[in-house]
Amino acid sequence: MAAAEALPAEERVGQVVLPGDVLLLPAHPEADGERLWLGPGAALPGRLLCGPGLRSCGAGLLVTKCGLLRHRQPGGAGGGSGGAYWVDSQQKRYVPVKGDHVIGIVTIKAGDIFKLDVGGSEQASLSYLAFEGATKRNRPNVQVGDLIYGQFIVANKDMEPEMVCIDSSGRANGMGVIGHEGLLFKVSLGLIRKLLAPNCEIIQELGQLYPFEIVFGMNGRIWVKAKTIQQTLIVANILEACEHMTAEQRTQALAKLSER
Amino acid sequence: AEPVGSLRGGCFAARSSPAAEAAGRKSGPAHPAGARGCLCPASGGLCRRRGRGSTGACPRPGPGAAMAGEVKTKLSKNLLRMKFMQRGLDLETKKQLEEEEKKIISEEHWYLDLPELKEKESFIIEERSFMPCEDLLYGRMSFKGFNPEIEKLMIQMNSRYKREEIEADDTAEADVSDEEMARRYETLVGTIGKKFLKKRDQHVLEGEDENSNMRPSKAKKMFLKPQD
Repeated sequence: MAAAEALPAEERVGQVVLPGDVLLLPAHPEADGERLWLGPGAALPGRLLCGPGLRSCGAGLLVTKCGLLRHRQPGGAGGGSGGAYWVDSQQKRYVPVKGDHVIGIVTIKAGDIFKLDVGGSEQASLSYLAFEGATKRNRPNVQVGDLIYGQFIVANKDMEPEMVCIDSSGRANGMGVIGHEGLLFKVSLGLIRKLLAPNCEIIQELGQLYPFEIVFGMNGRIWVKAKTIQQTLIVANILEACEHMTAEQRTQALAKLSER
Repeated sequence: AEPVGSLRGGCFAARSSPAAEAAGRKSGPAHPAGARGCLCPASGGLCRRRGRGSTGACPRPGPGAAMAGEVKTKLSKNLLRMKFMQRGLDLETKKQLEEEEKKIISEEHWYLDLPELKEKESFIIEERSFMPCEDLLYGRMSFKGFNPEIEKLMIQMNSRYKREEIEADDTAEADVSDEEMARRYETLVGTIGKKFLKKRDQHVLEGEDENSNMRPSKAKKMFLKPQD
């Protein structure tokens, strides 16, 4: 079996890559091990972000997941300078990643911590002090079966994932217990990312249909709440189906709904 | 009746020979000269010459001090290193002892005998999360005023991304320049600080402001630890 030839990364952007492919990166002047000289005001122009599905090996990047190769140009100021490569893959099973905002279901309430089911291989733990304004006397009102929107602070393959419902400055920023009504359903991970993209038409079109509230968890869970049950179910069905619909089918369906 | 040698410096006083009590000794008060480390009051403790051989002829005791049956009490190294045993030592001996100590300690330290390795600067950051790759929006949304707090939060969180880009271009557009601000603070701290000084310190402060020909204020009387 012939080994896959290594191609430069730029050529394969937008194409399907398979695990085991090697992507070559343009040679860097500092590849021989010398220290990078930081010019005045320069923010390490050589830094490349190697996103999910890719791993760095000797010559360049090694693909570990199958999907489409994406690239983002080196941006201007701020983080992410130097460009980013990642593999846009599809999967239903979520693997906890640090920094992700997810929806969890409380399964156990044990003393100081809650155990949440986040759809991963292990249950995540959440301390009762990790809520905004929580103290030892003032405990948050969380029961078994509640939905919680939080983010991971510890998530690796060696340890049990840990979640918090506050950010680094101690504010909730929308995290915490989600309300009691509404509907929780599961979709694939790729759809969530598609829906959360900056200019997503699906969300914009849905937003003009009914007033409703929606929470996206990166673990593939979506929670919807609208004024009536029917509206809630309609929104849920559209979101589940829009993964496999084309744009025209979607507009047709929405047009039919808005007539009613 | 000879006075029993006092346990000075932890040195075990051996049985003093009666001959030592004979008159004509140079040293003043009686002391049992039989001890190996003879307690010469002049040297304030242990006689330096304890390191001498068994004949330990200490010059202090007089000629009549026949060390009959002297017991050589061997003191351990740790004991000799104690503070009270070192009070009578010279500076040189002290230094020597210290050096020996350091040598012992440094020999016990482990070190790697490797050639100097150069660290390779890696310019690839590995990231397992999608957040920095694609600019995803905030996960909580509300439409048509269903939840006004969430709508406010949406605007706030999503503008945070844009704000980070704008931050770099934002130069100091403040009304007051930085240098002037620093100058103002410098004087401000002094004036406000004076308010909280105690009376004694206020007097001192005033003295500083005036001409420097004033006599230096008396040093505060502090408790001085007695030298050893």
